Amino acid sequence: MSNCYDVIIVGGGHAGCEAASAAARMGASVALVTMRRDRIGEMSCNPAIGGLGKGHLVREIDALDGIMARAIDRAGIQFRMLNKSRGPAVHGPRAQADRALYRHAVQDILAGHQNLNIIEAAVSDLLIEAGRISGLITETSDHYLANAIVLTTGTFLGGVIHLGDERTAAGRLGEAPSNVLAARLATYNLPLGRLKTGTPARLDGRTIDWSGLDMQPADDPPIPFSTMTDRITVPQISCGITRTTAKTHEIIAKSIHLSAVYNGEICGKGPRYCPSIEDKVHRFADKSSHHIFLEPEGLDDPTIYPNGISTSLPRHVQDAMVATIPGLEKAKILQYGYAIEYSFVDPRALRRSLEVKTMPGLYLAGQINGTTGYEEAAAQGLIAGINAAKVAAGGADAAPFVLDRADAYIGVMIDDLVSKGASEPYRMFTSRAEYRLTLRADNADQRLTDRGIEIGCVGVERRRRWGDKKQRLIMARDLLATVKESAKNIAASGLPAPRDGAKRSAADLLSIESVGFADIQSLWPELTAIPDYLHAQLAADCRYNHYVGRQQSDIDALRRDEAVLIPPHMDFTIVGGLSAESCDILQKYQPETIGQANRLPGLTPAAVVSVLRYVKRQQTVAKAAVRS
Amino acid sequence: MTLHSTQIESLIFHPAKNLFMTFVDTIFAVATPPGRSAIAVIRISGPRAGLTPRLFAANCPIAGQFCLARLRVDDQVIDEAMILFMAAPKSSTGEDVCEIHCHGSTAVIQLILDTLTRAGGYRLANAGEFTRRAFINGKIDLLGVEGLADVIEAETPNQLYQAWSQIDGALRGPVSKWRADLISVAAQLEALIDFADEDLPDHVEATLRKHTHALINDIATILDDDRAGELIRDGVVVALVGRVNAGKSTILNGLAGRAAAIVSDEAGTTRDVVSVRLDLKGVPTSILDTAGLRDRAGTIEAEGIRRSIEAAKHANIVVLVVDASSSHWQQDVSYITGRMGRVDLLVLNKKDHGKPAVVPADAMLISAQNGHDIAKLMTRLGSMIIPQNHAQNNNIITRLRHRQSLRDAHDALLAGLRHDFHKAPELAAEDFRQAAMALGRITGEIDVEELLGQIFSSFCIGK
Repeated sequence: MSNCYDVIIVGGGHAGCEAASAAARMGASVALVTMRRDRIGEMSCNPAIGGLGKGHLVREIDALDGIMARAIDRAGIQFRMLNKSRGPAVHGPRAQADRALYRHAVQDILAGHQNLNIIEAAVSDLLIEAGRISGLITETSDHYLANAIVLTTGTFLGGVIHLGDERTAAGRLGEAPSNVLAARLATYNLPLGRLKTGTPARLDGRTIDWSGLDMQPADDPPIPFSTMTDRITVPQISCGITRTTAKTHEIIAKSIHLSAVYNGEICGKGPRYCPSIEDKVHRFADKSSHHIFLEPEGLDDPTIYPNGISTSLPRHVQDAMVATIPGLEKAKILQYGYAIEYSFVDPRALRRSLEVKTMPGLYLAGQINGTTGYEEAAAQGLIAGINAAKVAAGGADAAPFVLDRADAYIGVMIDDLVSKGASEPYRMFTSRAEYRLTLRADNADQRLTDRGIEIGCVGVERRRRWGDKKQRLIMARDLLATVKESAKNIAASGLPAPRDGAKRSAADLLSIESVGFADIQSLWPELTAIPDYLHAQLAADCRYNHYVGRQQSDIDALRRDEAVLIPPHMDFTIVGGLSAESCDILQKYQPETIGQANRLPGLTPAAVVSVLRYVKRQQTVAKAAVRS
Repeated sequence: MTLHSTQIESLIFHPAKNLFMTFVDTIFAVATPPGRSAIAVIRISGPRAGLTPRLFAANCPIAGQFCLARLRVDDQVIDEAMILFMAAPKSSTGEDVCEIHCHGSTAVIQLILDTLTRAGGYRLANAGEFTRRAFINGKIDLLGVEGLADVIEAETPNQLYQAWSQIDGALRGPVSKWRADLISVAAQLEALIDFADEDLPDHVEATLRKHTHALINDIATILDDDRAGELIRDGVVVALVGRVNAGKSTILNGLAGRAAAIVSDEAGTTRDVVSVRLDLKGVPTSILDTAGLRDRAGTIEAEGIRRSIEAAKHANIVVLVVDASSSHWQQDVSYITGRMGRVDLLVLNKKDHGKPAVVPADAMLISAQNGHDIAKLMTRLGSMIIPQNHAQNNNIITRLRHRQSLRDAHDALLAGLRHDFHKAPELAAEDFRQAAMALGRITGEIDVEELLGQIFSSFCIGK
């Protein structure tokens, strides 16, 4: 096997797998370098995929033919649609996973790429030639060459695990950190920061008394993540629910000084939305109890993940604390909870393609960019993998594949990261998306699959399926708008009739909250020709139509700004009319578009306009030069 | 929510006039009115402002100070002037600003302007450009821009007080607070959406509704001001209608004579309408005498009625004046009222010639010859213009634009509350976002391109 590749991916987590698969789908020859082949696709924390905002990301990854949705469909043991009773724009598909099944599914999908080679090695250094990335060196001194490299090292950069007052250098429990690589990145003058995250103790399910606990069942039928999955065949299980008690809180309060988070050992910033149990007890002292979901890690695995009590308290405190929780009185801890502190690269050092601005050919994706969560990591991996493959094939000038804030949650996330950085581990929320009513989990394929086909990251089977679905959608929409009925007849069938007495189409009626597909089918029997799997999507389109129209002018303004590109490596000191402070911000963060400049915190509108005028004038000059 | 740069751009680069301006340019304009005067002020703003005195072989004073200097053009002394210099950002525009206070002679001003025009990097300012730069440089917000325009346009002390109160935050204060309230309310709603699987307290929704109601009430209270602030700013029109011999002209002259100040003699003596403009309780008020309702063989002619209706259309208050001593005044009232569509005040004049048996409630019985009666009429008109409960200087809505945005925010919040927070929180959230945008439009925090074009073009050069 040759040591030359188009693209090399470093890291076999969720970002790395998605990047490797995306680059391979784009036709690049790809190597995935990971320390342990058997841990590719590992879920190192909570064994679940999706949720609010996160579920949207998974559907978008799927729309671009990524692997996460297909993998969870083969590994999910409890599918639940969060916010099901609410509007479709805020539905959040989520599934508990069997960790082993998930790993196998990912590894199996990767094995399907003939042009993807997996190399088991630890990376010690990167190779640079003429200011561009050119390859890497492993700890065993092997050299591998590539046109582009995607680093997805997760929490392995300078990782330190804290358990009480114990500190261990580690990337993940039991795995060595990548300190050499961290040191190397530091020499590229990349701005580094520290973040922390935590994980709860794992329990032996056989020692839990399930008899008195509430159980939360899976949805029936389970709704798949991927449009490529027809139905879920994995057996579905229930999760248990229990709560902390006054006794639990007492133990935590008494021992809080022993927690790594509180004894001053950790300086990295943790996520506000995912606090440790000691944080919850300390900050929300008035709350007498916090709920805990007892989530099985697999069908054949007795390990239970107690979601809600992540902690870095010493072992004996964790033992005592767990014993105070109903059902867990005799529970055995299989692995103690811990906090992990790690280095990340300030993502403002990246382009929207996730390429490092100061190191062409080097891409970063996942937790290394200050995000948290498998889905956030995977979505970045997908974009980095696509762009790495584009550059490898088309040279440094290849147009990057960029999604904007009106295209996708992926676009919202990457724009947030490269414009504003990460002051805490970044997690997706639906409230981050201005165009939430348009960017739905149910219409990810409508928004993105054609884009994917255009750049070549969508395989044959999905192209066929989507082509077929698109045709049906067009025909169904046409039909819904065409069939009309008088107010009188609508009222006669028991549906809300318009007061103005005018005729209404099926689409008009579907925009009313209380009207469903069954209602309009009873009024117009010909609508039964529309296949069931399109109903939700069509109904959601009708329901939000009015609101979406209102947002369009805002989206147009956004797109006008995104279309004005600022040349790379621009010297802003020559722009003129900029305050020293504005100039510093621009020099430091080198925005790629006027839109992005406008979102940089601290930049005045005057500065943005000065840059805009300068860029436009340069374009005019350049055009004139071409003409003459 | 930020302004998109294309929107910002249109603030600075007036799209309608297709001007090419950049901050690299130094702009200048005469700040004082045209014509001969004792002193004229020429204002220069931009990077070359500090170099201006050198064009006239004079020295520039250090920032924040002034100096007296001879101005020379082509070695010829043209004037002795006071020169002031303010360095960026501590100036009215946020840029370097130089002011030349010269003698207000046409020749001096012309020579100075010619010299500036010929010098590279200087150009004549466009309408409102100084203020525009101040706005873009963050020296002033949208409400400040409007307030400043109102100060310049003020005719009565009340208008002036109101304008300064706006500049000093009479509306900005509450709007900022409401925005903050709204953001906190919206955040609770977002929490219901994004943390549906978390252990949220049960009272979130109730609290959310309560706070939103409070916010809606706050905004409604401010909206319910009988438009007093706008009336003070825009002024009002009172139309006197009635037969020729009913005494309208006498009333008009009486009002004009008693007014604390006749604000201006409008060149409004057209053939049909005579008007005076006076200060009525701080509100600039135009009183129109529609000299049109002639008596022809006992009937009132159609043409006169048409003109009166036309005048009444534009009037805030229509006053019908009838001759109380005539035998047919009641027929006149019902006929004219019927044709006009609306009469706000009925004045029975000429009570000294004979009082009617019955005076309708709300009508005023006066003699236009009597100074006391005219004073009473003025008081009555004043209270009709600004209702008693809004007579203080605390009117915070001074423009229709403010009212529309507040109304939009109010309605969007109401619409948001109509959604079931359990079934459709995302639609409620979208309405709340619209409300936040509407409030943001008032202070200019978001999409404001159209209104800014209007605001800035209403400024005169140099102000």
